[in-house]
Amino acid sequence: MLSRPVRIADAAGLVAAFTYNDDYDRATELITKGTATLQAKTFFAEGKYEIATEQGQEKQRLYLDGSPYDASIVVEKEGSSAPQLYWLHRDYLGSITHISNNSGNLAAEYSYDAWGRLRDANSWQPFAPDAMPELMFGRGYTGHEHLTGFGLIHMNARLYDPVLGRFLAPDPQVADPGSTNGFNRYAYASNNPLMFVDLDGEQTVDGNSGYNGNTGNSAYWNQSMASMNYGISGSAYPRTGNPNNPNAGYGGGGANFGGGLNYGGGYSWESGAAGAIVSTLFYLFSSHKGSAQLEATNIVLDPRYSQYHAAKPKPLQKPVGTGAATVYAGGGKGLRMDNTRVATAPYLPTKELTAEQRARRYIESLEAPPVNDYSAWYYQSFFIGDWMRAGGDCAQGNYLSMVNNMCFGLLCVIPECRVAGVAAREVAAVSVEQYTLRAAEDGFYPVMKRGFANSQELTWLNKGDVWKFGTTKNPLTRYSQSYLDNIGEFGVYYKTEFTGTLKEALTVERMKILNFRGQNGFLPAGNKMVK
Amino acid sequence: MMAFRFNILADFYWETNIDKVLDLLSDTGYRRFFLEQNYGSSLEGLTVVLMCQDPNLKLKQRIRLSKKERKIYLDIMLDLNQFMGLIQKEREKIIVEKLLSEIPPIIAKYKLEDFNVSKFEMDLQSQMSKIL
Repeated sequence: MLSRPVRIADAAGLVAAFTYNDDYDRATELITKGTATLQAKTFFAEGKYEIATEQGQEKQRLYLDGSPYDASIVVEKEGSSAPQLYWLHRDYLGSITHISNNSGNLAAEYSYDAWGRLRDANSWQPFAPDAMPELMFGRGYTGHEHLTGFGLIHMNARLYDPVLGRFLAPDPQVADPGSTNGFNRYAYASNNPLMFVDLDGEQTVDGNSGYNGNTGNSAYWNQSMASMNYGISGSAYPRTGNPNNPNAGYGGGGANFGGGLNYGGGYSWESGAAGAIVSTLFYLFSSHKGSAQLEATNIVLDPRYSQYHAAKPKPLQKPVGTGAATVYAGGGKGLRMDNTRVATAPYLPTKELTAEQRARRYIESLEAPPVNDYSAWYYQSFFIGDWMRAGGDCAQGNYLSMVNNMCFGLLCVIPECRVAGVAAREVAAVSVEQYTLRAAEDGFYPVMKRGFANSQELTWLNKGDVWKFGTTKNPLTRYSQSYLDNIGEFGVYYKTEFTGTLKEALTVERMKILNFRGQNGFLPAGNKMVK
Repeated sequence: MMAFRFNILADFYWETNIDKVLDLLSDTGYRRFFLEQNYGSSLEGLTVVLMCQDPNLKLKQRIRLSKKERKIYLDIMLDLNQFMGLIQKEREKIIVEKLLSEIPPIIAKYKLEDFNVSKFEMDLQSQMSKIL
């Protein structure tokens, strides 16, 4: 989470420049050649929403049911035209292999080799690094953005070269000191790209958890392995079906959509009704229509929302607990998507609801949240995505109208808000030091223990050994001379080893303490705990 | 017999490699040497902190005589920007020169009774110049 790539330039004059917000997510991306701007993108909400200007045309994209790395529905609005809905079909790693439009037609098909190199979907011949085609939404391998002009993949923290199968920059930390692979800091996904993915360029994660972190059940892995057949070995679907004939193509593809089958079932909260949902999903794919809800003129919400809506109002009682774990005495177990809990959910005044609950309330009533209720807007888009995946009407104009009003409505408000917020936080991000106190001379030094103000024992340190890792928000308020001098027999010296934001400094400190403990089996003498 | 505790510490950014200079000084055995010296009873210790910081921070040099401990604490101010661009040998030279030129006048300024400044200055020179 330290440095980020900010500029790439090739010999032909193609230049890409990136900026990042204080969460180290990409904020802007600008690709130019000479004085011409080829592409400009602004990212919001961790990439969930982006504004892209390509060849002078502005496109807004909103990933409805998750991040760009796991969402299956994306809404794109080009200029002032009506928003279009697209479905992203992914393999078990989260790579986008097919994109279908709202009519069920194949809009794009992509194929990658094991290391992420784009190849022709029919012949499987890899494209030359300088001849890669532009991707429809710019994203492909494991959901990451392809910089096709450079033959690179931007993995947020680092740039990745799929031809080399290596990152262009080293990992800022040794992810797994217990593995020899961990010490190759340029390696991608522990050199095992079929099993692991790297969602942020800094941490390798299991392929299936990377694809959809909110599922977390073993069934999903089964799906993943099934999809491996679909995505990697390229089973029947892409070639035997006619992608332009949805009934034959996607219907025939249904069997291969083992991914699709478990896709719905993978959601633990849907487990009770997985069959119905999956059926609906198949129906969607095979006939471009959802369930019976499709026939309704107005949008009919998922029954679960309706049940919540119909829940008998109960008087507000005193909350017990705080934060997300807050429950209301006598009011049930809080609000969740499964039916049993919804039935006992308290009916609270709007102002008492969480942002998530407010968003759900607005969906029920087909109202747009107040313009300043950004949190509700945010959750609302997720619920629309959930609702669609559960079989909601994706063919009705009303739906897109709702998305247009509700989701793209927030786009008018949020950019300014986000940019202003980012700017304010960047200004507020003071420089924080991660320092180390090291023994000035061989000798005995005090060992600090949790729960005690004074040292409880002594330990021998050699000259230069670490006595303590720490961070300070205000480097100017440094240790006094006598404090440094009077620690141990010969004192310690203060060595600033890193300077950055608070988040960075704390992470570096924690990393160093954990590494120290991993190597020695105990904490540094001056550290009482791991923060 | 009175022992004189002389300690050199530092507050620095890692890229300046001042810890390497501290190690070199430490290898000369100056701490043990001064522990065996007796310059008088009015001063039992001297702690020097090499403050290598950005001058833009406008840090002031801290010089303090602790009568209770009979000890002097003082900072030697070093320029972080300058040290970032130097080779290690130059860093060593600058630090030794600063130690030799700044410490004796500061001690002399306190007009301590029965403290042999000239002897201390000679010993300091002999010990510190070992690394040059």
